[in-house]
Amino acid sequence: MTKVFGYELKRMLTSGLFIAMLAVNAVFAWYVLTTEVIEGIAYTAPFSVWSSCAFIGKTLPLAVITVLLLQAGYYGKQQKRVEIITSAAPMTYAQTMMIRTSVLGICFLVICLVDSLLGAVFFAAFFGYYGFGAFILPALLEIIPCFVFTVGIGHLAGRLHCSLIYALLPAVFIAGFIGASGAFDLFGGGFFSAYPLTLPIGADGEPGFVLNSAWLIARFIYLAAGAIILIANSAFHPKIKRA
Amino acid sequence: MKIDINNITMIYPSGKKALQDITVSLESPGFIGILGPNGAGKTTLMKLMIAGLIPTKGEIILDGKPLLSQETRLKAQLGYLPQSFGLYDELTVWQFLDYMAALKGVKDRKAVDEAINRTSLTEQRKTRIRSLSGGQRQRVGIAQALLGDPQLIILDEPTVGLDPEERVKFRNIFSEMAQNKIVLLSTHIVEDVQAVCSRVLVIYGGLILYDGTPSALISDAAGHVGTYISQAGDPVPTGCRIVTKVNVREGIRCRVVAEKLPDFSESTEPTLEDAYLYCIHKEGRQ
Repeated sequence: MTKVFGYELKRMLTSGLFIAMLAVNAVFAWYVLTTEVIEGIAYTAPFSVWSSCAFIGKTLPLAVITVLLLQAGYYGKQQKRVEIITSAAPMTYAQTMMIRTSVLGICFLVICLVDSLLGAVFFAAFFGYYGFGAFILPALLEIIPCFVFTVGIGHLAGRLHCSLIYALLPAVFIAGFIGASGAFDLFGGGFFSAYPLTLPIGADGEPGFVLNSAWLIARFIYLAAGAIILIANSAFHPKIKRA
Repeated sequence: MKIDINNITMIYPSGKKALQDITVSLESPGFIGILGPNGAGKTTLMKLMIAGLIPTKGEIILDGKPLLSQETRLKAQLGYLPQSFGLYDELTVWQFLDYMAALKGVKDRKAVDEAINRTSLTEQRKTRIRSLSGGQRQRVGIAQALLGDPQLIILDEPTVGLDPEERVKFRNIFSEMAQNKIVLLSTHIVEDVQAVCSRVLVIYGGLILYDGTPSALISDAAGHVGTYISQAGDPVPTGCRIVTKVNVREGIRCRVVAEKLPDFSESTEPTLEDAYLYCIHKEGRQ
């Protein structure tokens, strides 16, 4: 299974679509850093945890769109033709789903790491700030539930029909770039731009960083829902059709 | 290995009846050829045998147990070449076969090289699949089916796209493999079946019309194959089916199969192709 995973990962990471979208993600991340984060989010310092979380939240929708585009490849015509052969191998559908989800997870992680690296370069170069350790936990709380939920929905949509994955793209765009700012903001860009404004100002002139409990509950709900969809999707495989 | 197909009926959700109450038993060693026109039910039968479909009625028994309860065991012993398939174009031939070997759980590190050598892909081993010709892609398909010494080999039109020399070579490879395995070969090329198969199934309209040796099928057609000379525009005699037409000095030499040959025709020795066509023709099915 490790070798199959290795090949699947190699195929995905070296695909033109991934490389192109990685470049687009990097350009977009730099754009967000130099146009929004540089001014500080919600009147906090550009290198505050609030600004960092908002930066991650604003770049996540494009990362999710990239993963959905990659995921659509698993349900496209070309893949279906290859599956005519691969489905005759003894690997189970659950194993196949696990490999695919892991591959997409690594692609997502690579995009997030590139964005974060650009953020680190930006904070260091523009502000001489190196205290990135405080950014890690909130960033993971944003990234992981968002990935699990969207990839779960993506698998479900793809299984019903490949084109449904493409139908998710505008939904992600609306939710990410136009949509919510409350606790259920899937990506966090809106939430982390608005929530600090409701908090009292501390001695250092900006609100102290606290993770809102409603936001944490929403993360848990997204994570649990995504995990349930992924497990259910793997457990009931559609390969054998009864006439 | 023994596979019993018991009273299988397959009706697709569209309502198309692909197979009707099929019963057949396959045991290793055996090289079984399946002949039938397009839409006869050959591919459906093969999909049922690889647990790719669940039959509407009946069941398939693998070594005494229901096939569907031992899908993983079946697939661990299966080499399958479908009629139409895709490959990962971005991988090289060696990488794709290595990937397939991993999928099949083949541990032997030499298996990929053996499959490459056997299918004459040595020169293309580092070539990306997208650069291969149609025949070379078909050979990659055959190579993946041969990986890991499978006990059941199911080949759906395996020699499509191969040149005549390659076709002969591959049918000999399949024949060697059938010494201790079950090899099931579905093809339109009757000559391939005649050359290597020890048993023939003729399927038409979802029914098995014939199950036996090629020689017995040929014997059945004796006295029902004839030739005669006709002229352009002459109607086909009633009850006859034209097998071939060849332009000769006297006109057109027609080779026909019929339950009762016309008086003016000359009876001739049947080939397997004649016998196959007669088998389908004799019950007024075509």
